[in-house]
Amino acid sequence: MMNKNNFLSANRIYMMVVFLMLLAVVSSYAVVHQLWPLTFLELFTPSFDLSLSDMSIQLQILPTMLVALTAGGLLGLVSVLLQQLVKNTLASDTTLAVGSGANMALLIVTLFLPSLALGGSFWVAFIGALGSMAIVFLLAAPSRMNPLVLVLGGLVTNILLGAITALLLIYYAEETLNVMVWAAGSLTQNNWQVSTVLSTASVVAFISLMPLLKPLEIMSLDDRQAKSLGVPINLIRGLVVGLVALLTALVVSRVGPIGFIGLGAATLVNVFSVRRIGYRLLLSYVFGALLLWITSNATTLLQHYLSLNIPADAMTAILGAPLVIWLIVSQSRQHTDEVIPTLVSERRDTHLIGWGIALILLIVGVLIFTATSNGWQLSTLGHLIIDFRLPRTLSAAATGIMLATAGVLLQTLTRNPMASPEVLGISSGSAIGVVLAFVFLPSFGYTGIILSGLLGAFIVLSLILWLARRINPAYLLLVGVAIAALMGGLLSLVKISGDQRLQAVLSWLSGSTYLASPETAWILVGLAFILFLLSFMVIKPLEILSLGSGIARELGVSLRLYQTLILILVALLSTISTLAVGPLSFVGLMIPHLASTLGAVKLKRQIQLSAILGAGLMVIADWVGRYLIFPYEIPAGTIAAIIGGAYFLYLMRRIRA
Amino acid sequence: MKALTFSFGLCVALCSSLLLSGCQSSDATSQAPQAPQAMSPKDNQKAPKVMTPDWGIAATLTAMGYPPVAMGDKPFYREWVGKPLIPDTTLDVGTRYQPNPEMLSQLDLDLVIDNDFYAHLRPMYGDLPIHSIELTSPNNIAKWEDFIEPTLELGRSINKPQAAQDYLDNSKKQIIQAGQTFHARYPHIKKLAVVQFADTNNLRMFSYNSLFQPALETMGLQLVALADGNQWGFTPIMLGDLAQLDDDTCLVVVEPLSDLLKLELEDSLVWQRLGYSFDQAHASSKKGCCITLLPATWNNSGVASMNVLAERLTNVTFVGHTDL
Repeated sequence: MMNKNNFLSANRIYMMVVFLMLLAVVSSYAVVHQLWPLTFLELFTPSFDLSLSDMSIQLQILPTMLVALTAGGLLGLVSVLLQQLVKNTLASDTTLAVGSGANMALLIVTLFLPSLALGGSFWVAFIGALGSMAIVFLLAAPSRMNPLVLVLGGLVTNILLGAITALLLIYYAEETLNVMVWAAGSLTQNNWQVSTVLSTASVVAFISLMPLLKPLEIMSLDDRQAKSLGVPINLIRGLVVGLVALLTALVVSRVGPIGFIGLGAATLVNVFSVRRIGYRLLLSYVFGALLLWITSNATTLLQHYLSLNIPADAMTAILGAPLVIWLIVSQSRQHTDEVIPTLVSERRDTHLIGWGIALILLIVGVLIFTATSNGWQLSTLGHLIIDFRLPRTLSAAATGIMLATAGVLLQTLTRNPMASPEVLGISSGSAIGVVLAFVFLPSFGYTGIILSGLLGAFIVLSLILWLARRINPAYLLLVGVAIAALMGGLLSLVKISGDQRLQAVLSWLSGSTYLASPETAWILVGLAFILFLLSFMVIKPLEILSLGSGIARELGVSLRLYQTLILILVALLSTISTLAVGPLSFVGLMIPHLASTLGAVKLKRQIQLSAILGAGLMVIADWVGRYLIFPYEIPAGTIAAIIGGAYFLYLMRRIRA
Repeated sequence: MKALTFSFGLCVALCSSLLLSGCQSSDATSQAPQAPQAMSPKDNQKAPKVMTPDWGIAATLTAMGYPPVAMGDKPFYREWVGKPLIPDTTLDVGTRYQPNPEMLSQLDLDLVIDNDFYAHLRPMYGDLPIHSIELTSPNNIAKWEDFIEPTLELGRSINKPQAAQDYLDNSKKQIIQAGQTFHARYPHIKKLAVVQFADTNNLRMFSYNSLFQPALETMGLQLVALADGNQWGFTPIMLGDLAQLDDDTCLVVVEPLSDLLKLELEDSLVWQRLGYSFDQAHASSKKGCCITLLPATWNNSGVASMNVLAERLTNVTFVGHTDL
């Protein structure tokens, strides 16, 4: 039986490898056919023997493909190494924020120490990669590297670093004009240097891994056993971490940030349940190489037809995210109830009235204390308040209420403390719907956009709920991350398309209350109140549902009806807030936890206090965003992500498994 | 993670402060005094207080001697347009595409001048009159004449038609003069191709519908482009496409061009084979193809940009074979 299984899985691996290779060969043929003017064999002529224009094309084909192969392979290798290290099938350069740490370090140095960025970009990226890994590991340490906490730590670190990057780009916009923003992300080569470096690194990596294979294999079973067998566990771990940081930094500094290839490759390896560590590493390299090769070819072809300069990162997200989602869905099996980590909090008096008064005072305060062209001052000009400040403040508050409410509903319904409209990709789904409506249904106007946004949110939500019963909650987060990445890729394609109409969508989805008007603000507030009251009314059934479906059925609660009702509520809350300020904020994930650490443990109290706190956070974020660099603005979503992300990382230290 | 890749598709770069300050000092003498001296009775009307989101209109108004009281993206104007210098009295209203409405409403304005690119902002101006003026050529091959009417219209809209006419006359004289200076310095250079780097592989080549065409024509030079331009006046090309340029065509690279990009270019096999070099040391040895770096010059600012372009071309040093 065992043998047969092995044989089957080996067969399936060969099939998959052959299929990917076929795809790579076919797409490569298409690329060569489209670009290369000479005969096929002449493609391999030494560069300097070709005419200048032929050489230029040769470089776009050969070294570019070689870079794609080696960079993808290395990222696959890195991801499997990480998974081996933390015994978690969700670890990868993307999910553990290794790449974004390297990326951020490079940005900071480019901004503030440009001369260092010219020569030492690799070492800067290396330190950044090590730093972000350290943050994530430190966060997960108290919970003994609980898989959910680890991935959540990576996720929050990713969002936080992304928001800080966005803030730096806005705040130091002038400086980023001065120093070319290191953004590369393009695989297209114009010499053989990078391909040589990455090929050499691949060979060196495999050779240096040889002596590590045996200890890693033993460690993958049990740490204590490994120790008793005389394996220097900490040394091996240190070496692997160093190697991971080194290889990731190499790829990020030479090619740019490339998401999802490593995770995709590692997940493929896991699907085929290969046991031997050596094979796992080899296969991950092969899968990663093939995936990025295919992506690179697709990018080249698309660039050729659209004559647009498409960043590789956008394409890997658009092609890689669905792959990851598909892999997770196809892997879905009986959900094993496991210990879900929770924040330690105790029930206390919540002083709802006090918080409510504080919120009102806050709103009054931000309405009259502002920056003007003459600096900071108290400004009580009635028309300024009514025409500009009040609508934006109210929109921010309404969004905060809706996201926080949606967060509480989702966290209770999925019994997953890390659920929220943003994290599970519901907001992203709604944003994708909006963008698609803009592109394909422009004639339907706002109705079309809103309906399409709702549909997007609803589809994601249904997928999440369907999956929630089948897969591990950590995988659920990964689906959300993938959907968010898909949206990011789509938005960056929209950005480079240069279409004016679509640029409007971008500013719409940027996370700012810029477009709030006196009319829309009151509608938004009204909607927020109605939806909040409706959510309040489903608390009882929700409490019963959260006990588990068996108990709910016994108590005679109409399971499907209420579940559908809550789903529609969450979809509405997410879509309306996405339409108002965009998909990027942190309110829905963080505020429910903040509320419960403040003592609001019971659902009823939690939802009330969350609404107040959510409104407060968004009002502050919006106010800071509007006046910090007046007359320029920073989107409220960015500020909320930084405040919220930093606070959440602080909270995470208290998570116990 | 994507934040980096998203907003800067364009490579943006080190515009050396040395070059800028050098230009600015000469700028102060050449640009400011033109219009106010020649005031006809018609021009005696007070100029309205103008706000414009557009750099081209702001540049032209300033060059005429009537800078707007408010404009968008003022700090970035320094980087991408540079000249004419906008006085400190002109207020910044935030980004051009999404100016700050609260700031805008606090300004004392008489008039908004914009173009269709900023049409989405019009509801924000309330009761203020709006003039819309396109400072670009509608033709496939731009001519000097295409820019006369919009510039005059701009003059009329601020009640200074004579200032606009004088500005046009003076500008044409200055550009012709700049052409003569250029020919005296580089008697053999006749053809120029103008590009801007997006990254090491991708460039924008300014084409015949850009204002480089009428500016160079007025200077007695010829613009060379490999294809017709898009609505912004350029055509995207790859680095290798530069090989199609004739030997007697000099390459003008418009800044910004970052140090990092320069470094990457030096490593590019294509760039090496093209035979260009920014290295000033080559200037004396006369080796390599003819090339120069032009301080950032905006392509969408009508006559004001042409003026700046002409003046900057006479000040830059070409490297490589200049006696073609």
